Amino acid sequence: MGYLDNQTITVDAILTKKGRELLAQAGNLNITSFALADDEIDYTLYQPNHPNGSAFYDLAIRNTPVFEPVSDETQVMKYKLVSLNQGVTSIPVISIAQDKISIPRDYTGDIIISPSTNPAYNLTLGYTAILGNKNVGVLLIEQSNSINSVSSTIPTFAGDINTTSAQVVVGQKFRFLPNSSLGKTTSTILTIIGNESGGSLSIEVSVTVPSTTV
Amino acid sequence: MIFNQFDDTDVVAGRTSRVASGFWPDAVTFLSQSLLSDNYFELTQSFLTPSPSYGSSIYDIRRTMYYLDVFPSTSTHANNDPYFSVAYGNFYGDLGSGSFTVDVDSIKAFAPKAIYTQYQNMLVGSTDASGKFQMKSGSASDKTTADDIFVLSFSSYKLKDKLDEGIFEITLTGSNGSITVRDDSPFLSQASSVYNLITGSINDSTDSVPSYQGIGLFYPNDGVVVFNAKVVNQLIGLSNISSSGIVGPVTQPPANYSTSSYTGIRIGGSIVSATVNHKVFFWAIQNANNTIKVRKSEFVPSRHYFVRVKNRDFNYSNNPTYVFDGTDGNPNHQKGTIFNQDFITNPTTYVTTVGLYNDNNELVAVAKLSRPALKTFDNELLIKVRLDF
Repeated sequence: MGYLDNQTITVDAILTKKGRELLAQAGNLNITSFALADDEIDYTLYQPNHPNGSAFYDLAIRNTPVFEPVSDETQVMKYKLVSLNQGVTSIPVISIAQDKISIPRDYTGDIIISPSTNPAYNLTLGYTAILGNKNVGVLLIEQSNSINSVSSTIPTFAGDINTTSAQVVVGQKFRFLPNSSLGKTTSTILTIIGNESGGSLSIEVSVTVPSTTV
Repeated sequence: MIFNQFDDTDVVAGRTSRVASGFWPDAVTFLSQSLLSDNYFELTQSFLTPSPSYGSSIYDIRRTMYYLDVFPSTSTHANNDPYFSVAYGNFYGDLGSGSFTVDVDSIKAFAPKAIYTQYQNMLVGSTDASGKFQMKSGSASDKTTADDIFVLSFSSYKLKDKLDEGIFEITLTGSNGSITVRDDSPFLSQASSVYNLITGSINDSTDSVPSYQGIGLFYPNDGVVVFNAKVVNQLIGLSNISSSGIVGPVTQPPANYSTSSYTGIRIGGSIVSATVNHKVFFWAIQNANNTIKVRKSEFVPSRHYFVRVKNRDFNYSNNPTYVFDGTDGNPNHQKGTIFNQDFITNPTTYVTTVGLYNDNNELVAVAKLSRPALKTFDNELLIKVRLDF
């Protein structure tokens, strides 16, 4: 007679830099929620036609080595798992009207960025918008939501967003104003992240400066 | 939803984990005593022109009049990273005739008296009328009093919170032989802040109650071991040892104590014609052909979070390999469509990371699983996350 596997998975956590900072400032972490992620997993390695049968379909995934935790909170939890109703065929996808924003620096019209999610999601917590380089302009909150925290941890990719020059805002709808005093044509990336779905969308933002005529 | 809230029953606070490890470099418990080195420089340096210079004052503690630092290897010695110190204390501070002539010439630092008093103040209880260290000797109620003490004081930084009682052993060698001593905690029924030293190894059986000889005291919480110098001298003979072992009386005292009238320091009523006593005691340790065994403990407050992942939760992923990116032109492969039919009929994810968030959705702690954990609508996960502070 064998033994039933009733093990609880036990893991040690490390504090992130943000956690250490908060612990030093406030004396407690006030942890209220958790999220799960699968950053290391390549789901294309799932082999539904494996010759040895179904027990081997996910062999390559189950044997994927897992990285040690790192203390930079922006470099972990990039791909979060999400809870959806059974039977869906797609995960919530964020979309906006623009596929690119390219305007001159003296543009005065309204550029409204109104993210939506299909199927409907992010209705309560809204979206986090990250302008990679705030020198190109400014993001304003056109429509706020119930939670307006700009301190939420935003996962980034090396070289993707320079957090020191990025602008982060949280809301349901945003307005972009170009920097009228910009000295040269500059492009950056605008990333919209769903605060409930975890999905994201990125577009290029380019503010042009007319070349001087002699 | 990508976040799940903890409820009150998911968080267990106030837990303290004891982390025990060896005291010596690389967290080992055993260290050959012959590897130990000390910083006693006066044997080769001139009193008036020491090199390296540690200031003009003989009282500078780096000149080892009060204690000497001990290093587990020459490399830690070179890095000035001591693991413990050795000191000699005398309740009266006298040398032999009742005077304070331990301080040769006109120095008058009374180092042995200062050492005894500071350990007395720190370790001897106020209810002890004699004001001296007392050790069990003979029957359970008999005690012997120590006028002279040798002290091993372990680095607070290195020992973390405490030395582990029951896992301490040291061998001393002198002209009369060797003794190996340990603390008596394995023979006692309850924990204490001080234990008596007895002869024997930590590998010995603990079936029979030991005989007490008044050898010394072990203070695990303070990281201090006090030896009764008189008893140690009687058991192993301290008068005729030197750095190279038992070669007869040492006739060359250290430079800064050197005078023509120098005769040594009294231990337990008899003159020991050797150099400064803490150096002699260090030799008694270093010359022993054995290992010094020391283990330490650290108490780490921790909090446990029970991450309960129910069957309906977290069965889909935002991982880019989980879905089509919508760029292949196939109308059935719209962006966000799950690419694998098996994941549509039986949604499956593989958890590798747990993130703990505060109410501002700031990631304050992160834990990684040792291998990906399968999650489907047919199973649940219970992950216990331990967060140490």
